[in-house]
Amino acid sequence: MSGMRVVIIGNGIAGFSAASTIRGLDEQCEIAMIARETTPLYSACVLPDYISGKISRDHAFVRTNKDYSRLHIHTHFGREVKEIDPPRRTVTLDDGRCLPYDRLVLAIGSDAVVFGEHKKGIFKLKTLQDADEIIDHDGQNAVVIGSGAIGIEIAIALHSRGYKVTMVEMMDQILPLGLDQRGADKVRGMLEERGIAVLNGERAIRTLGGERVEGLATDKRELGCDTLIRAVGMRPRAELARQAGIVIGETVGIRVDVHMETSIPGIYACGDCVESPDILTGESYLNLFWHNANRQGAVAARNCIGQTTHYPGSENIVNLDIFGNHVTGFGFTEEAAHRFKDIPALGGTLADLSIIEHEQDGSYYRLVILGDRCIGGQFINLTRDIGMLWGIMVKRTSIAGLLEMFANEALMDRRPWLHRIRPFFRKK
Amino acid sequence: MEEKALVLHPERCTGCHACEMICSLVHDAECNLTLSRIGIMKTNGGGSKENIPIVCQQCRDPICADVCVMGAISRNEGTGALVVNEDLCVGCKTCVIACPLGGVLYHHIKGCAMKCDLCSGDPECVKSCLYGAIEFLPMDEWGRKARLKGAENLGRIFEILYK
Repeated sequence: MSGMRVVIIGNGIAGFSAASTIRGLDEQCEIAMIARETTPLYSACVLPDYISGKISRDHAFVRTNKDYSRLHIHTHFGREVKEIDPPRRTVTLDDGRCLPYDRLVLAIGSDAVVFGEHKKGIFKLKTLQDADEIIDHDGQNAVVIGSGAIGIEIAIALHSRGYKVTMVEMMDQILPLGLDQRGADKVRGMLEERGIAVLNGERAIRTLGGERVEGLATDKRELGCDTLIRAVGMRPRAELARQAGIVIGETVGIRVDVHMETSIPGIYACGDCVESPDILTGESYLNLFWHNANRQGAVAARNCIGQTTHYPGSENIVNLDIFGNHVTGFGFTEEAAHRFKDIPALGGTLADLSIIEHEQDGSYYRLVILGDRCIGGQFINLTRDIGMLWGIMVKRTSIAGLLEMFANEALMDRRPWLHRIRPFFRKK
Repeated sequence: MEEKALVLHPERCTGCHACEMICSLVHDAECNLTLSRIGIMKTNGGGSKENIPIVCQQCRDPICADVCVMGAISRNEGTGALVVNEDLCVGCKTCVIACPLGGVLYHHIKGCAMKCDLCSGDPECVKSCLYGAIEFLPMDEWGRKARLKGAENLGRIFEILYK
């Protein structure tokens, strides 16, 4: 439909990916983009690098304002959406303006989970403004609550700014979504070696101090600090959708179908604000990763303009640089596989679960195998062949099938993982 | 511009490294195997010696570009090559680990991702290969067949990943 009006709410990667995909396929339609922030697209993933001084502020920007005019996107930056009116097909902005739409794309993203009341010296890291505030803040002693990828990256960034850093994690290990205990202990060792204190198994209870933060009380002790970072996780910003009557899933993300369409026809959603099926299990999940948002935006855009496209599912991959050590984790950890309630959906039973792990010269890998398929992997100081293992996980290729293709001894020699896997399968 | 792609013939490769030398020379002004975008995998197991050239296949639906948090990998419309914008790249290596073929590498001097850019449409490695192990062919039916045949020789791994 030419001359169609598409309104996109949000200017993160999902929103921009949707806008640029639509423009690439349809030169006629009108695209309007509404965003809270006034800047063009930047990468939230590199903000820790900006805080540490590894890259400049300008370097965090992925696009410039020119890109928006080149793509003929009408931008309404610095504006909030007050209301979506699905029957009349309009959105109302905070300045009272009312934009009509034929298709609406919600790419409103996520926000950091709140911890306690706000005090001076308490920060989160989600937006460029948050990063600016952390840089402007003058402190020496920081506590980071949460040890996910963001928590670890902020801890390292603050450490490189000269802070004394302590991390507090409720679970018994750090990076609980990416690594199993053994890998996590290695990463913990790398952090401690550089002077970042890691407190596992401690629950943060409340913040101390008056107007200004002076410390954090955990269930075991009181930690003094002048800077507190809350990195306990991200939560979809689904409130706007809820008010419009759009169905929200149990994970508090907006529920969408395989076409990224919400419960209201003509309204699509993509990025951090939606719950999406895991590529292995099909179970709805919050997979708040850049590449998922990027692909969801493109799928939503195609369906918007009538090109039926399916979203295959989301994949998780954590990729961290810990003081020069490369840490990667994808798919299920053993811990997560044990917790997962519907194991048959993964393609086996818990009895079929096995682990292949190997450690050599400072490098380490651990593959989580269910039946004859790889369902996850963790790697330290290795980059080689991870893409292949990730590929066979996503494509559900059986390892036996892969081994057959690698019956060629010559190729096997160059694939260390497969050498580890092979004897394991012979044993069975 | 007519769509062309690199076609690899492992059975013709002698492992002389000329392509790697010329690749690093034209991109980084030095002959350095660690700075080459194309790589020869040498195997010597099971009694059969093999040399397998490995280079980015310029995928239609590239995972390296999808995972890049800086949007630094994009398609050059002129050549059809996926190129790394080195000003944007922050060197996080996500693309390096995501590529199933080992087509993206890490430039350890510049600290950013590096990959084949098809030399602006005239690949030097093709010209440097004395044995015809690397060809730059139009992607018509014949070119596709040649590419598939080369892929089959790569232990049929391409077949799994591109199904």
